[in-house]
Amino acid sequence: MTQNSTNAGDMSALAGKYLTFSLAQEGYGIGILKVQEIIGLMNVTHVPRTPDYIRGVINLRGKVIPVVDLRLKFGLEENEDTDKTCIIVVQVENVSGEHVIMGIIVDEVCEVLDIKADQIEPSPSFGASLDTEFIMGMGKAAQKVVMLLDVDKVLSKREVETVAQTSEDY
Amino acid sequence: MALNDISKLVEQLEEISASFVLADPADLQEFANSHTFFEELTSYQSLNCKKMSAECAVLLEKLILGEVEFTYAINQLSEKISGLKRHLENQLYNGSGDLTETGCNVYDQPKKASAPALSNTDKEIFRNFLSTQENTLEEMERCILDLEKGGDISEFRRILHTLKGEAGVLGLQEIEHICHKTEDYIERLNKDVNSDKLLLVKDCLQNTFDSFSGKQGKNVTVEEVVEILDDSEGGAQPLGHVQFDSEIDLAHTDHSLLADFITESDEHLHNADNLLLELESNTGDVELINSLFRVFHTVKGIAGFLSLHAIQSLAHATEELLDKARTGEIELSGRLIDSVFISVDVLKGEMLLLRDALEKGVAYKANRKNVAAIIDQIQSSIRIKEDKKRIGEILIEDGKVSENQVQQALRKQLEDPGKRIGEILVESKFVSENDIRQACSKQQRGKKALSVKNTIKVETEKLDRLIEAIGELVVTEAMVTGDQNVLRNVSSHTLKNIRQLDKITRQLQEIGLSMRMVSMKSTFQKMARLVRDLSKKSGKQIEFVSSGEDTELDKSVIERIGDPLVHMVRNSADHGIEMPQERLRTGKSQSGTIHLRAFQTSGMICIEIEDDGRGLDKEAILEKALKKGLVKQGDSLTDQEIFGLVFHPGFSTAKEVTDISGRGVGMDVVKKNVRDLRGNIEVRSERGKGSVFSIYLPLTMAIMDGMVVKAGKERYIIPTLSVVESFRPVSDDITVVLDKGEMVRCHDQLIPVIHLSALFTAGHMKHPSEAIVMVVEEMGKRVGLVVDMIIGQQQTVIKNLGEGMGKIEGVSGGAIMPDGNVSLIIDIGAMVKMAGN
Repeated sequence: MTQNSTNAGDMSALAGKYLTFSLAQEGYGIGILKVQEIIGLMNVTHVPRTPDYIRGVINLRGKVIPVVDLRLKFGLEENEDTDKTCIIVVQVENVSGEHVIMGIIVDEVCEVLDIKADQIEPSPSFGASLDTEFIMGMGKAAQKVVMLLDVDKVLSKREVETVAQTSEDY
Repeated sequence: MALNDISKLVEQLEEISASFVLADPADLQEFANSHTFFEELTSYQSLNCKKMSAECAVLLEKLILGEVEFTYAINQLSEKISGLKRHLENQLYNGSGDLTETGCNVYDQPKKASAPALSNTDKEIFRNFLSTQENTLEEMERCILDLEKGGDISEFRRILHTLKGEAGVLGLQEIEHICHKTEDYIERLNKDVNSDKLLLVKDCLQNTFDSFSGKQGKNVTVEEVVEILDDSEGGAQPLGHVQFDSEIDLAHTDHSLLADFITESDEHLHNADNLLLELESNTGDVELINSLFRVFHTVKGIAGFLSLHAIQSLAHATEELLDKARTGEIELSGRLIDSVFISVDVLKGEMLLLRDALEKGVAYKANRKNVAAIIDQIQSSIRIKEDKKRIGEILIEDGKVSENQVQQALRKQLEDPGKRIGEILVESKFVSENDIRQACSKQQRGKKALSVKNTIKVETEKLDRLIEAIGELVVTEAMVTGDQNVLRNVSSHTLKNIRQLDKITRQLQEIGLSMRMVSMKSTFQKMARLVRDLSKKSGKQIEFVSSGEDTELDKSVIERIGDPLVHMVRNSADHGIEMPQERLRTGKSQSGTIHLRAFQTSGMICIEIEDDGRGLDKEAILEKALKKGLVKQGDSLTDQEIFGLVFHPGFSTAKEVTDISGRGVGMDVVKKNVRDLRGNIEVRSERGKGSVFSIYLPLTMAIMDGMVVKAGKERYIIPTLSVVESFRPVSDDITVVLDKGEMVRCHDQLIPVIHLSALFTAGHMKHPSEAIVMVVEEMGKRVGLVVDMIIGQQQTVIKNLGEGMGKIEGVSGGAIMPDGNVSLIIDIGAMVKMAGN
């Protein structure tokens, strides 16, 4: 399953299983193969001089991984953590092709959906001012619309590099 | 040339070799006939065997003229003929003559080995072979360098011989060939070998191995090296180390006796294996050695009676070794035990050959190569053992002291038994320290050869996984045993078990860490070679002394420290040490010394590069720094700070400074590398006397001793090594200095203050007088970190903050705390830098 193809005409490459979750009542989906595990929210250590959307780092069985608050990353309103808030541990590929493990904090994990090629539509264009690059397509399944995310792009290294940059400007 | 013509030639060769076996020394006509045949063979260009046949012809000529000893010549000839035969047969089977001519050095080995197609070789064996070669080559290089200092060549020869054997088995003819040529060369010149040529051989081998493992860079070809080796002086025929008839016709021996001998020996040898295994765990058990001795003695006796010379010689050599062990002259352990093991194996192999020959009714041909190799090995290990002498004896031998003086020193030692003989000799001014050092290294050489530890090869990946798992175990264990809820509710019995678990976990952690520890030996050896090459190239006389090469460091650290070390050593040789004339002019000895040493000091490893060259020019550095604006006029700098300037990036390319002070090329890179390893570098230098560069490195990359502090709502870890002191200041101690911000007074020194909680926006900030100031030091600069409280001291496993996190300034990593949370480790270097801005 290659998810990088955002070619408007060909959505069949995007067909497959998606883990869906919600953020501020909206449904999102990420390719199941990108997901390593889902863990409950745990104590996150804040890392100074990083953008707001980086909540900090957690200890994943002896490995330290960064955790991104997806609400803040998408510019949504910050919300109190609830019982349903959890961390999806994903394996993403950064610009240089390395596999990186990260956690993303989402409001609620929903289900795994099998989305077929004919249920996928290309991501809507909102004009040049809006960057929808990380939305691969819109999946329609059972009265719901889920935005299929390209996790690699959402959590790209570029983002992190700017983080390091800002901290050095101090 | 037609194929059936070749097969005819092979037949002829077979005839000739058969005739040699039964040859009569007086029958010159027969030899003359064979001679003509070989001469003819030389003329067949297409056969590609000109050299081999020419060699045979020459040998025959000598034989006819009575210039060589008969049995020896026959042995040589049959070897060459069998090589030639194989060569021709190969052409016959392959239908082509594209095989390179290498047969001249093949021994009696199984036929398949002469086809060197790597695809036919067992891949696993080949990989194993390759992975051990790095060590072998390093050993070689060490031997060569030792040789230059008057060491013994036998060890080098032994390594070479082993390599040749292994290469032969694997069908690596190129390597076998060059090893063989080198052996010849050494044989010819013995003590007068040219170490440059030997180093060339080593390089060539290295290249060949590298090309096997897919690495590029084959700049020395085998042919070149062989040519160079052959080039040196006369081409006298080499003599084999071990002489014995390798082929025996069994027709004249009593077959039932032979059969009995084989069964009996098989039993004995099997027994010997068991005895050896037992001996390995009970080193020096005389009873066991005695039983072993009896085994070889019996085998030797009967083999002698049956005229099985190869077996007899081998059994004899082993017996000799065991005899020495029996009388306590040498200790049977390590490599010696291995030798005996091999000896048993080889003997077993011979028994098989013998049985085979007996069943088929053909002549028994001993595996000459194997037998000779092991005999050689045993004999050389006996020799090495004998070389172990007392310091006094070595010194007398070298003519450094007289016997009288040693006697005198020995008497003194009786009065003061704590002292070593060397120390007394130096004190009485009989010898210099250098002499003693040399004598010691000579003595060590004898010992070193035997202190080989048993090892097992494991893939690093597996090891990493194990260590990672241990790390997780340690953390989880700490979480459980540190949980007050658990401790409160368990019985004292469980508590005891928990303590035990704790202890075992710690042990496991230590073992895990020690597994990654590697000695610095090979790195140091590379430096020795580097200095040698540099001194040759530059015309300077540089002596390289190293100590503490057995100091162990984490493998990953060693890998990354290599380059900086090369850089520093090169700097010392290039810029530090002066030309001989200049040295003499300044009243120094003609040859300079670079001393590389490694040692452990307070939880760190220190590597020092010391030279007695011109040293750093403080004024020139300062001047340059002023010009570059790195320091301001009137700044009072400590020596350490001045020397620290050479690590500044801008300094490295500044030509004029390198000319004056002689340092600074790429030092910023060195510094960066060392810093990345969480290490530190210090310089001490005196103009005209020399300089010392000390690199301090953590023992491992993975574990750090840290102080856990609290600032705001977060906990942070400060590396204990950086902490100078901590105190709670009174209000008067804190002053705000214009332009420099808040300063705190500490021992009449004003040091800048950084509020951790403010810097890391970790919440509420206390006034320093209500908090604790931790004074940390880096590169001689101090900073006071204001924290709310000190929680305690703790060993922490350092983790990076995940690849996705990038580098956060001020934070060098994360550590998992006993409660499972992550705490950040403060980067002291960054703190100092921030305070400076």
